[in-house]
Amino acid sequence: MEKQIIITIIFMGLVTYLPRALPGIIFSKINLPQDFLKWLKLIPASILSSLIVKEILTFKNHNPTINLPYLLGCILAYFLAKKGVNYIVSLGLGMFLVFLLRIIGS
Amino acid sequence: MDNLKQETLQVLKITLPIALGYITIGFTFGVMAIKIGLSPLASLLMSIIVYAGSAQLIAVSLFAQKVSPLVIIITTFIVNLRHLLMSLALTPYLKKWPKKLLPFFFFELTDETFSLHYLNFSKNNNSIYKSILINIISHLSWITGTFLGIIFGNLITDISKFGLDFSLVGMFAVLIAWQINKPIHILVVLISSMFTLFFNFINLNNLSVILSSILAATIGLGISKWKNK
Repeated sequence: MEKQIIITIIFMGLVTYLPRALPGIIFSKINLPQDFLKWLKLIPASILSSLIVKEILTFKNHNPTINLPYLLGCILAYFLAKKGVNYIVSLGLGMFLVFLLRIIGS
Repeated sequence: MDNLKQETLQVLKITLPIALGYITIGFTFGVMAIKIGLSPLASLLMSIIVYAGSAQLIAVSLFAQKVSPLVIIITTFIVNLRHLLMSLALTPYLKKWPKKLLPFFFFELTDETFSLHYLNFSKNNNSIYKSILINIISHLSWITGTFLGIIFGNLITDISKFGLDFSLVGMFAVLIAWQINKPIHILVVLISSMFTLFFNFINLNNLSVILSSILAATIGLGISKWKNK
């Protein structure tokens, strides 16, 4: 049983590693067309926003659930950072707000 | 030497949220893995070689349901497929790196390390030392969190209530604030968010990041080309 689990985990590692490494390794040898580079420059903003939205609003059987502490924490951290507030302070205040909201909420 | 010290301090500062978040979520993973009957060795091994938060938590629930190994492996593949886009997005900045280093660098690519690497690279700062240090601190935090969860899981089960888990999402919010200044980026953020909600709504949660990012970037590129005509 343990052996089967270990083998499964090794394969999980393999199928995780390939999409992580292959695109980067293969494409680092090729000169990419200008349009593709422009497209790639839009990818980080897309990924970041998608990752945030995924954490804040989830669906269970089509019913939405909003993680309100996360939503408000993100809004606070975003605006503090936009105003030029230091990285650790922006995040720390966001975390503190999440902590407070959870105390109030529970 | 001074330069090295400065770079190290910079990395410690920007990687702190990842360290806090990974220890917290790694802890949760360790607790859950032991609870459903995975051995300490198997749990640690997963954090060392798979090293992907959501996939590992999903895998634990699949192991608990005695799902077949093939299904677990395929699910892991699908959940982690989004890294493909991150790997691609970093390549234009890695041309000058020694080729031998790339297989190791990409091994530790996660949502969070990607976002810090991109932040550095887009500011023409692709120091190998800094990048590798970010990777190592993050991976060690994940492994440490898992280890602590395995050891202390029976004493404390939920450490997330203190708000530490928020550090990862919060970091994304700060990075978005720093990097989004062109109108096209704002547009892409909105399109990607809407697609993400749509894909999650139709239960395609595991593919929503990769699908919505591809769609948003493509539409964004189309619009910027059409405007420049």
